[in-house]
Amino acid sequence: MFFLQLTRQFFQDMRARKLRTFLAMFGIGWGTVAVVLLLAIGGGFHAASKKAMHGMGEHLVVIWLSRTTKAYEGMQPGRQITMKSSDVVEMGRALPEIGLYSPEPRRSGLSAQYDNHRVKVSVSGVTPGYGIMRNMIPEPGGRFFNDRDVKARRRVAFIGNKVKSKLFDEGDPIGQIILLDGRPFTVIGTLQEKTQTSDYGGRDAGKVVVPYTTYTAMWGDQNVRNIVVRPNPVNDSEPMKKAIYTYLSQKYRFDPTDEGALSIWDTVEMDRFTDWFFWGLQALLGLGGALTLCAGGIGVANVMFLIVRERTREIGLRMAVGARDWHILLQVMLEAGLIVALGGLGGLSFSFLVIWAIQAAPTPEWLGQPQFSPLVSLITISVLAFVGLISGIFPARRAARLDPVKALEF
Amino acid sequence: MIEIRDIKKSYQMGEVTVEALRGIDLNIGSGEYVAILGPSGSGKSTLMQILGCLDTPTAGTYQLSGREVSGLKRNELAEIRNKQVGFIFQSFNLLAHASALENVALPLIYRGTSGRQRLQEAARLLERVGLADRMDHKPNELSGGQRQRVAVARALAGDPDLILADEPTGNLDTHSGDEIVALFEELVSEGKSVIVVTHDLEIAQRAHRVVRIRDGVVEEDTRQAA
Repeated sequence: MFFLQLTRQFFQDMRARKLRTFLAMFGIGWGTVAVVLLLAIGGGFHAASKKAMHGMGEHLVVIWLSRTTKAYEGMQPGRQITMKSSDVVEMGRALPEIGLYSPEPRRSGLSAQYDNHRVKVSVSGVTPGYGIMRNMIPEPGGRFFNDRDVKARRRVAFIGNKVKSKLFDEGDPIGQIILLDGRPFTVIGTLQEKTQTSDYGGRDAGKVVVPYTTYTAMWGDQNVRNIVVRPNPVNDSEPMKKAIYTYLSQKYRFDPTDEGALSIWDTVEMDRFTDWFFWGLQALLGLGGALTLCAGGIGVANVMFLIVRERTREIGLRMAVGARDWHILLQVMLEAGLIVALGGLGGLSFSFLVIWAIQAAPTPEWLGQPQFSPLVSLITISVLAFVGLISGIFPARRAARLDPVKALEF
Repeated sequence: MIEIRDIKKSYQMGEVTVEALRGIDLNIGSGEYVAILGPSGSGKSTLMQILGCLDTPTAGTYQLSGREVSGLKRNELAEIRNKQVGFIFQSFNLLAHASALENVALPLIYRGTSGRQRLQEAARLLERVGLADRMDHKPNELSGGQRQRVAVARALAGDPDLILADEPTGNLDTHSGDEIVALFEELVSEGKSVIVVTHDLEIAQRAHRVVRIRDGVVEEDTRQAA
């Protein structure tokens, strides 16, 4: 009932001072929009960047076999480390730190042919795990090859979406025979189009992958230039890299501290860095929004100081009939809180509309879509609560500390 | 009911110390009807503020209903004002945006009385001062005499033993002033102590006792036949 009274008082004040209260609310609303939109756009940007980065693959570590740079056991530096596909598979099975693995022997400039369509492609021989690691998701109706395809050395191919459109136009490629380097292969899957912002040796859209066993049978168990692995557990690549170094340095007799022998591209680490980077960006954007909101809070505090001043006599009277300091404090703070709450509500609703509008309109792919996440609303509401508290407390304290005698004579 | 001993109050006005009260002794019993009379600047308002626990004395002791109140904290004083004292001001001091009923119920809010009870009590008090048909009127819809009667009803909310009125008829015409004074007499007959601060001799003479203040001291304290 006490609160009901205070709320009524607030609406009476609001009616009496429409413009002033509206401006104070507007300041809060504006700040809220700033916080929400900046965080939402930042979040969308993060998600879009991550998605684009993961276009190449997720939890992916690519290792190139290189030349030794240190002398070891009487051998000169500059010796090329060579592995064949079978060696890679053997290592993958031997090390528990490796979750998924694949060799990646590759031939580029091979012709792929269907009917009278012909296109140059690069062909790699890989494991089924490669499809998972590299986010090669098949279009509905198709599939990536599996262990049985590998074991039976089936002549099956998974083709990139660009290869598909060049060879088949709009036709359905699944089950069709294409010629790779003049040898027939059955198409079992096509790559679902994906955003890929990084690669090595070409985008996946223009590639054809086949089981590594089939590849070996066709083109020989050649030396591979690079291998692709995913750590187990997926988020920590360090133990795996260490294990691989130990394993390979023993097997191929090079100095385990020779960092030049293997060249490693660790996207797990890069992911972590990116996460940190975007966390920082979000913090910065959020801070910018929060400062705008604080400026709105100063407006509310000003209005409250004015209201307290105008109502000095009334506060004196309330004290005379027995209001304790906290009654007065609460009254002023509640009023500031209501201005902030209503302004914040308005700001949130407007932000919803804006986000909805942006989502409906085309945005550049790299920027992504703004996301209104629970975290964003939680942060916004916390900042609002903080601003409401701070903008209320100072005028409220001034009111609560009034001397009743002087206030009555005001 | 009230026992004050050697009460002093001084204010610092820049370099100058103004002594509003220079040592006042006063005993007021339950059910007494006292007028405090004096010219402006005599210290009578300051005395009333101290009696009403709105202000604290610089020196001296004040016992209200047996409790020493001169050294109490702000919130303790507020509680006494809330429960033991009812104030009536010259300028009514009603909340402009609230109805007569809500104005009368105001002190009860700070007692934590429930909403229903507050309004019931306020309605009863408004009836008692003869404003049963004006409960939902805002102060600007009431005459001066009606406003002051609302203020009397507010002072009675929560049934305090001590009613303090500071120039209660100062802004009223004679007829309305008479009505207010008549209400005071009723209250006294019910056993409440009423202290009226005034510079109006006619009002003062209707009290049972007149205390004359001049230059911060009691000049004369006379009882008169009712």
